[in-house]
Amino acid sequence: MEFCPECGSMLVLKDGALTCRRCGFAKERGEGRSVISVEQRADKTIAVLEGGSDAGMPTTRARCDECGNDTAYWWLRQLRSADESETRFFRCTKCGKTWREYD
Amino acid sequence: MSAFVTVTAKIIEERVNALSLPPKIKDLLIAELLDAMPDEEQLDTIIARVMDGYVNAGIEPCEPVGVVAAQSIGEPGTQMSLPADEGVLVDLGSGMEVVKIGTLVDDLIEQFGGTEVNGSEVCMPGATERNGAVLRVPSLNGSGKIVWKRVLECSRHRNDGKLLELTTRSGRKIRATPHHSYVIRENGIIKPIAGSKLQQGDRIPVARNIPESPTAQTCTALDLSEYLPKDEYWFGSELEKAACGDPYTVPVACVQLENHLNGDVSFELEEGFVYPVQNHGNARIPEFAPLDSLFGWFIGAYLAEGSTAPNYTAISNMDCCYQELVREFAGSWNLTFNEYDNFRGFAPGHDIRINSTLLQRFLVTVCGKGSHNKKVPDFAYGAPDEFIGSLLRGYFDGDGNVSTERKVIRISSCSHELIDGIALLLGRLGILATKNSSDREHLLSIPFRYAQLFREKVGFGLQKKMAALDTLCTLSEEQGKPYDAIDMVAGFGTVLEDIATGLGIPMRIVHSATLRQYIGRRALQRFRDRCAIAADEKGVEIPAELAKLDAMIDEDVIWDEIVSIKHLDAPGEGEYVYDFSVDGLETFITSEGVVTHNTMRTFHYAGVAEINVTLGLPRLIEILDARKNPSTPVMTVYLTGGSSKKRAQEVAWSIQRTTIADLGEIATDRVNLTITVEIDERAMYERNLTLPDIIEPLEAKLKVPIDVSGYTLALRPKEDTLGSLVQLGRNLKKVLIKGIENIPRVVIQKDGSEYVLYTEGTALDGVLDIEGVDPTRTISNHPGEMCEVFGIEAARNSIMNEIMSTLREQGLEVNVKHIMLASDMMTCDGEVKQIGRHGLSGEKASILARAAFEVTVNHLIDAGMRGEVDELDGVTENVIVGQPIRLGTGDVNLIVKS
Repeated sequence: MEFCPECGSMLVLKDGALTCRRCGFAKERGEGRSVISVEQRADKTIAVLEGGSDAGMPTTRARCDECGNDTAYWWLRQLRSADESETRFFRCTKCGKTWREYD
Repeated sequence: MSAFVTVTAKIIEERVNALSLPPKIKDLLIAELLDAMPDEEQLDTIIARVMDGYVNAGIEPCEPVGVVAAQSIGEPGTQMSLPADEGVLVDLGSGMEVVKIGTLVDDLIEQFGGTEVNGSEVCMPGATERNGAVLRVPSLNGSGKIVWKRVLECSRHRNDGKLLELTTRSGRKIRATPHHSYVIRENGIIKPIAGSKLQQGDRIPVARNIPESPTAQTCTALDLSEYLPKDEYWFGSELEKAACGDPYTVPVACVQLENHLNGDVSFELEEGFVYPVQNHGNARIPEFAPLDSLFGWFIGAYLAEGSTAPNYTAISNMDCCYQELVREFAGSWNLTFNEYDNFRGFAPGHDIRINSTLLQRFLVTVCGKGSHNKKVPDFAYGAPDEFIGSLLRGYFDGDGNVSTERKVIRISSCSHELIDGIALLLGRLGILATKNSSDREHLLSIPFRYAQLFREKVGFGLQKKMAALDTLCTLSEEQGKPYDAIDMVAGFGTVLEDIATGLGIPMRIVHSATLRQYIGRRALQRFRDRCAIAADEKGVEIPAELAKLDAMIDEDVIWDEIVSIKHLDAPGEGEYVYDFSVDGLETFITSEGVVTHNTMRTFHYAGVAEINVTLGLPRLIEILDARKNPSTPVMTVYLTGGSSKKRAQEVAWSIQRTTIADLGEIATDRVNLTITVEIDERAMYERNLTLPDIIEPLEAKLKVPIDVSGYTLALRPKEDTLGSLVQLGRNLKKVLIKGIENIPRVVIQKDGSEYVLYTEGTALDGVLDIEGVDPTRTISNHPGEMCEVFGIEAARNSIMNEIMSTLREQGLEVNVKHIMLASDMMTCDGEVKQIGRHGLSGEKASILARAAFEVTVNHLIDAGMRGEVDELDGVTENVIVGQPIRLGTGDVNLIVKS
């Protein structure tokens, strides 16, 4: 992209020469340093999730009331105000029942 | 320095208790010391050391304590691969071949270029040079059948770790990195499993029947110019080409060529034959050797009993039928031969030497020479079944051994490659052999249960061996088959017991099989027949169950038990290891028949795959406010007709919005005012698009002429200004090529046994029309849209489900009746109204109630202006006024009886 030395507007490629639209100044093409902006292809693949979406969570021993299983995924969330402790969420690994505990 | 004091328990206790250590450590120390009872010096040293250790282990506040270990979930296939010299079965365009994965992938990367992806070099092979065919591999699909699938990617990376070598009961081995995944079957479903998780006793699939590869039909004759280079041997067809003025390749200088063209020579060159340059005996062989049974037999014979010298090929055998066939072959190719008796070795032998340098050169090139180096020629794998059968017959006639006592057919060789090749050829015919190796000798045994199949497909030429084979066949018929530990069907879950209970067959028959999760194929066949009989007796039809059993019996694989798992050192530090990425179930097969899996593709986006949905209180507010555009609209799309991953992906691509930006690189040239799009072939293939599919919408929307050359599109804007170029660029990215406009992303999740699609963005009316989508189950999480598309009752259900699931996700349990009340109130008038002042609360008849809820003054003033009357019916207004409400006690009014 080049600019007209006389009036400052952008030079456009017209009939093989770089001309200024405003003042008529013309210039040779030169080595032809093209300004090409390239956008890479966004590599999108459709993800297929095989394992259960809980699979990454940590587990602990906690008794599920519904199925009696002894292992549950757990996570902590601070639901109440900042000076209160966190609520513990549990999800049974077998039946998926979610419950919470707070003291 | 104190006087020598005998160390007693009391002294130990005193000394330790005087130290400044936590009580627990003191107790431990005392216990240890009482156990050891040191003398005084030792006691001093011990105490000094303990104190030192304790002080050193102490942590100051703010000091970093340890390392938090993090695991990257998004590893794209590092460390999951095979070493370079592991052979794999592929089809490169001329039938099935065995190649070493290292050489193949290296060549492909050189030919098609590789890109770096997280430490591996990945290459997407296009069409290979041969016949323009694509690279395919035999792959195990979900129903246990082997089909030929295209290889979408191949990769290599440096391996720094160890390798795992698995050995199966049938003697097959496979080496791979510990994270490399294999497949096993659990509960009837074939799924991947990491090599490091496999244990002895697990069963992995081994191919027992490999179908013909898709390009095999083209190989009925072998082009010998591949093995006899045209610049070393005379090809008659080349002479013809020279005569006609076409480009040609000949092994001689121009002068001699002239002579041949003029007929000025001692031997004629006919088209269709190959000649050696110095041809005194008019020796020649056909240019295209037909792959018929005689040729096959001869190759087998060479592998078994052949040897070569520069001028001839010799086959040594004492049997006269054998010798007849050798002579017949030589005769069919018009080759001369000489015969000799010889006494080298431990028994008298008879040699037939076929005089032909061409034949000798050919055999040495394709089969190798010397007993340690012989191998099955590559073209044999892709040849017709007849050829393979006669090749095996030739080989077994020479080196095979039928043992009626042990009930096997055996061969042995010092060439490992040869035994592997024979095993593979037998696999092509459906015969599964067992391998056994020691240092120098390799054995292959075919159990007699395959005797009949062997007789049918291969047979023997020699009388004695054929007779023994017949005996084996009758034996196998009479005796019923013994327990075959190898040919097993595994991982079928409870299906056998279910079918048995359904038909009233006693469960104990299949109980142990279900417990062990494997059953012999014969036993399964007997069970299936029994089920069919029981069904007939009861008069019930069980086509589905019988079909299931039949599918398992007819599988193309056996489930071979792993007998040993060894750790090996990597072939060298930083050596490359390789992998394929195959369409579909993503399995491919090694040269020994072991099915292995690749998980490269499913790992690519493992980190970013979850769809983000609003949860908790904000979501509850969204629903109850009946917001017209919720913050995270999501559609749950179910599929019709057979839930397979491939179908799920197809449907997913038809929904997800595809623009040019996803398909290719866009280059904007500001000086020349053009936009060039370089389309990626693979992206097109993934989305099942063709070039016209892309160009049509572009032309229609942009109304600008498009230049197409190969996979590159060039566009120019209508006007010659930079402004219109930039505008064109913007519009270009907006054009919708495939999918639905509002849906930028789709995620597939496997829910139990079916695949479900979740979309970011919602367009229910558009999606229901798409093929493969089940319109009876597909929903959206936006109740307003559910009302528009499915009606008000559906909206009511949608509201209830959404609220219930939001609460359940938070671990709260609310009885559904309360939510039903809210939902009913919102939808009772036929549209979805919000609870707030623009909906339910704003429509209350009572002015005071409305005023007490939100905009107080407006309601009061408007009511005053209009002279409205408040009937004081509801709860709020009565509370304001101070009267009892019209429920409970206030439900009744007293009237005076006149």
